[in-house]
Amino acid sequence: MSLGELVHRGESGLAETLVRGSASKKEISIPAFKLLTPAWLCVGSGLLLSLLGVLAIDLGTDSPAGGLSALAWRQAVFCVVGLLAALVVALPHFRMLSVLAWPAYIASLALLVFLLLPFVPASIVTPRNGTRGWIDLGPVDFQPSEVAKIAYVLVVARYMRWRSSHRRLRGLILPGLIAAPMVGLIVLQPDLGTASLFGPALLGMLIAAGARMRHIALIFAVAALAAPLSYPILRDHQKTRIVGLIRQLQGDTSTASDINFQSYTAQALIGAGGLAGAEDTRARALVRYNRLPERHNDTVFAVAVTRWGLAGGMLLMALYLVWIAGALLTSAITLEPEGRLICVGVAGFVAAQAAVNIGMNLGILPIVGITLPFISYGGSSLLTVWLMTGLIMNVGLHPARPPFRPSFEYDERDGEGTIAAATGRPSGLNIFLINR
Amino acid sequence: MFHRRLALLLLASLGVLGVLGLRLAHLTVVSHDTLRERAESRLVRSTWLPTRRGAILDRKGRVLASDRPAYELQVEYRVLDGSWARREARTLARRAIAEAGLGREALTDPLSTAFESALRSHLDTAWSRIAQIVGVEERELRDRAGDVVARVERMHDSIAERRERREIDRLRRSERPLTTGHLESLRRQAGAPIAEQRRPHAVLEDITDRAAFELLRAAERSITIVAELEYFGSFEATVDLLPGVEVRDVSRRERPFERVVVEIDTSTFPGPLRTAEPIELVVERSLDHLLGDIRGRVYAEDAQRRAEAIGSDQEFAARALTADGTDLGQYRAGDRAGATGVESAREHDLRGLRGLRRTRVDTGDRTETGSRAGRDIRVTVDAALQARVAAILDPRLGLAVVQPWHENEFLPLGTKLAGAAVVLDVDSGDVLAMVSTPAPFAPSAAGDDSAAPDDPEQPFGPGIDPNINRAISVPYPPGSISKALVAAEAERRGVYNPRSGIRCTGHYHPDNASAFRCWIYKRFGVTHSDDGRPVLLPESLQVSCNIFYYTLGERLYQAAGRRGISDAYRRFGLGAGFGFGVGPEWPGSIAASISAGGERPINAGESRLLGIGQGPVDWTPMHAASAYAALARGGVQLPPRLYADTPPTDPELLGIEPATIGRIVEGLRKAVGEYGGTGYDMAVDGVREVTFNAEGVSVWGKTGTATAPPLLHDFDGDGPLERTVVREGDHSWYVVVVRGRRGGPSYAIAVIVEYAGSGGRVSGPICNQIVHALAHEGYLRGVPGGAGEVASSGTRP
Repeated sequence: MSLGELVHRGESGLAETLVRGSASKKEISIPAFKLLTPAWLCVGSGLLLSLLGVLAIDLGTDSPAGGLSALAWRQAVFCVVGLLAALVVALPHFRMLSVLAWPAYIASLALLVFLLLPFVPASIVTPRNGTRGWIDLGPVDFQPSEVAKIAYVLVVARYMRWRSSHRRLRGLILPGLIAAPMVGLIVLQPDLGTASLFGPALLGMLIAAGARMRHIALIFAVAALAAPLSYPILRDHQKTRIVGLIRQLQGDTSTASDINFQSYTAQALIGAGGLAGAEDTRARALVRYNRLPERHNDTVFAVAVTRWGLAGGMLLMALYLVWIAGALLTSAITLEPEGRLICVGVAGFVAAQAAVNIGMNLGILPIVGITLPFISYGGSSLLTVWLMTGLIMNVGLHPARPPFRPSFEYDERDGEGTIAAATGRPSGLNIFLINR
Repeated sequence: MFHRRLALLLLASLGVLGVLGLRLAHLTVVSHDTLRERAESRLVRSTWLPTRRGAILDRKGRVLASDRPAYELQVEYRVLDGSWARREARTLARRAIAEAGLGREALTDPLSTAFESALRSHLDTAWSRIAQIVGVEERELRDRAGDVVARVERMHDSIAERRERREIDRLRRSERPLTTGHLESLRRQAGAPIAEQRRPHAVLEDITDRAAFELLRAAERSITIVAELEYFGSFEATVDLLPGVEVRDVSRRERPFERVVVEIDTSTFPGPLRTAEPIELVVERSLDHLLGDIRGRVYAEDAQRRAEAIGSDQEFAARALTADGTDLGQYRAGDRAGATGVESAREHDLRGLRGLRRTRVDTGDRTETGSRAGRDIRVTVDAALQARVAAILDPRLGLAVVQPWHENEFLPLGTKLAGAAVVLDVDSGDVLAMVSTPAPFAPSAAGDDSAAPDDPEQPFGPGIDPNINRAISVPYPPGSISKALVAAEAERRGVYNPRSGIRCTGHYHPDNASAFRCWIYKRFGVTHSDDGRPVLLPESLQVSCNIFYYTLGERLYQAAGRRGISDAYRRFGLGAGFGFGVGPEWPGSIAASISAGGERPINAGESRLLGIGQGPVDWTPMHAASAYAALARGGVQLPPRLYADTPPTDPELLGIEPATIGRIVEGLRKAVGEYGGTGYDMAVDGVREVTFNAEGVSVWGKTGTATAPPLLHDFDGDGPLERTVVREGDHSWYVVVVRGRRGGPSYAIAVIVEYAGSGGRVSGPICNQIVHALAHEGYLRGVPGGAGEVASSGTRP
């Protein structure tokens, strides 16, 4: 019997004791799994995206006649591994995983430090494109910053689950500080792309957790003011990049052969895709002979649009939207505050990563060197998004356990940080969702 | 509230994806066509296949200009001096860093250093690869490259120094204080790269076809180089296998008749000029006015002219364009283009069409349009005759320098005389020879249009420009040679009665003996009618009576106003050019008015003057020859023809009675062939010599001694006001029509010698030698050609 049923039956007494957290496990019985959960949306869309990813990778690589290329096969294997990992993560209750949050955080930091040690031989830390982001594990490379994302979500969710300090401006500082060492170490690799994803993820969690919008607005305003002010202290190369992006958006092609080559080529291919895309061999030839850089990786979106056109691109974006919606719905349904934040956090990461990657393929964001979730080639990347999907499944599968407390329900109008649900009744939407 | 916040987050995601979707739709729908074209352009590799410029042939099929194919290995200067490695390294580093994503910008400098050293060693291998392909020691190749760099650097240094000095002078003059900052920026500007530093230079000339082909193939390939950075690992980049290497088609234009040896038999020359043995004369550039020049550089106007021709000529477009509208004859950097003469006039025909091989890189499908050589252009000129005529006009033979028997009042003995001669085939109007002396300056070896030096020494003295084609582009007063035209017009208009004649009174106005005089009255104080008989038309031409033609000029004026006399000239072609396209053409003018853009009214006095070919009228030797050819055709005008491939023009009947023509030709025959004719003979050192001495040749024609404005020259170049008279006196004309045995073809010859004085004494012997030349080249039926060939003796480098 679920809480929803209790409320529905009007056994408000028991419900209230449950909500207040005084009821014990003995008083009600809760099923171990709740199979009907919106988290399946994430699994479904994730699977479809992974499948399209394998096909897109095959398009971008020379494959022997009649079959998938070696790279695409590897990606398919990674996908299966990712699914298994997701299953492993989904099964134990996330409260148990939550215990591992801080250790995982510490371990991630240790690995990130390890990457930067100068005396580590190149056979263990193999720099790629000038970034020390990977640890060579023989058959696969392992990217600690990917794991760090998950550790970060778990830690922030665990930190904020019972708190309401983020309702005050000062309370926003500490969640930010948790991100700082990770972001700092990743920037040092240097991998600004991955580092830049922590911001949107944290922002999503803070908004969901009920941070005051005026504080958020204040942060945005400060950032908006700081951005132009920081321009003079940027390095010359970085200025060139920003100016280059603006020029390119204005239609200037003078940088098309050097700093904007990738973006320029990606846009040409996307445009060539048209409404329905080019047929298979033509798309392959276009991608290959335009020498699209990172075509199985950062620019795989351009490859997909070349082959499947506007329709394909829209489908990909729709699938991301379904994945995000699945995560947010899972978050909406669960009563566990930590689970709520975990879902929002991983959704933040995936949404930001997808948006930035697609944006740079479309030439409206600078090339930052991050992968497209589920689609881009890479074990670590794929494993991470499937682990994230596993976490959402975990939250979705496990019904809330007592003691229940209404989390992150604040009255927008009062400024004192009181709990709205203390009035005794869950809000209407809450009831509606719980009933489902 | 939590759920509202979640809804907000979902909405935000939707918003972001919406923006991305709009951009995606923009690229795939709105920009689809341009972007698809851009992307697909990489799928097709186009290779141009070389072609050959058409040859220029003379009327007998002799090659006057043709291409000799040659290839040259050229290398970009920045590769030669090694600066390429630095700049390319920078580009590669920037690109690699940009592709790695934001955040690695600090690596740009170390990475470009690493790329630079990789590129330097790549260059080393490239040099040895090139050396291997062309079969030259690498050392030698590098030495040559070093020589080029040293030469260009010297050039740069001297230019920089000159620039700097000029700037400092300018600053000094402006009297502004000179600061060190000033000087530094000035020095920097002065040190800016010069054009030579931005273009490829020849490293190896005349490489074999095989080496050229292999170099071209290798130049298409690319190679991956790796730059190692400590701590940050390795970066890859793709560069050309042979950076900056170009194989240039440097086909040269060969002109076999550039320098020819002509053997001239002087036994028929005026007495003092005769020699025992024939003279061998090396004649240079006699065809240059006609053939013109080629420059090794193309201008925007060339492409524009071509586009206009394609737009207006369907047949031409069909020949030059591929199915998708690519012009196979399009001008590309480094191409040659005709600059002047036939090379320029027939550029579109001469220019070959390149072949185009299009390879679909993905499928390997090939389409190939073969190259087509340019069309050969055949001109109506006879190169051997042209060389002979040029030799005859060459001062070295003595005919075109001031001689004692010329009785030149103004120029000292031995002065070289400029002039022109035209030979037309009467039946067809074909231009058999068209010579202008002096010959134009030799173009520079580079073949560009910086050919003539700024102040070249004029070979014939100051004021005589060799680059003008005197046969078609200089206005000359016609003088007495136009009397035949005036006579024809007077009979056509009925203002002259062939039976009554006109009395020569010595001076036109009975009461004024100092104006409108006859030449004989002026010289000897007698008249042509001293025996009491009036002068009839044939005789008027024989003796060139001025009073006769003053009278006709007056009568034409009374009968038809200004049209009367102007028609006399216009009927025979004055007022129109020839459309040869080989250079400026003077259409000829009569009573020209600049303000009215045409003819101004003339008065009776002017009409009278025009009657003897003086006054406000001018034309060219080509007009004169064409007019006499029209008389020889019995009053049928046919424009002169320079290209054998132009369709014949419809002849135009001039409406002159055959009887009139008969009387005129009779007069002209007497002028040349009978004692008393102005062109019959002359006194050479006291001995009377007949002007025309070729056996078995019928000649009729007319001398002319045309009063000309003095030739002025601005020696110090400070403007047209202070000019010195360098030549003055009369232009010497002689125009004849010659024929061998009866029934054979006839030819019109017009000769002018500037400021030479008497027509009979200067142009006469020249005209006579041209008749001999025609005979020598076998043009006169029944007249044996001479021995001695015109032999080519070398070509322009």
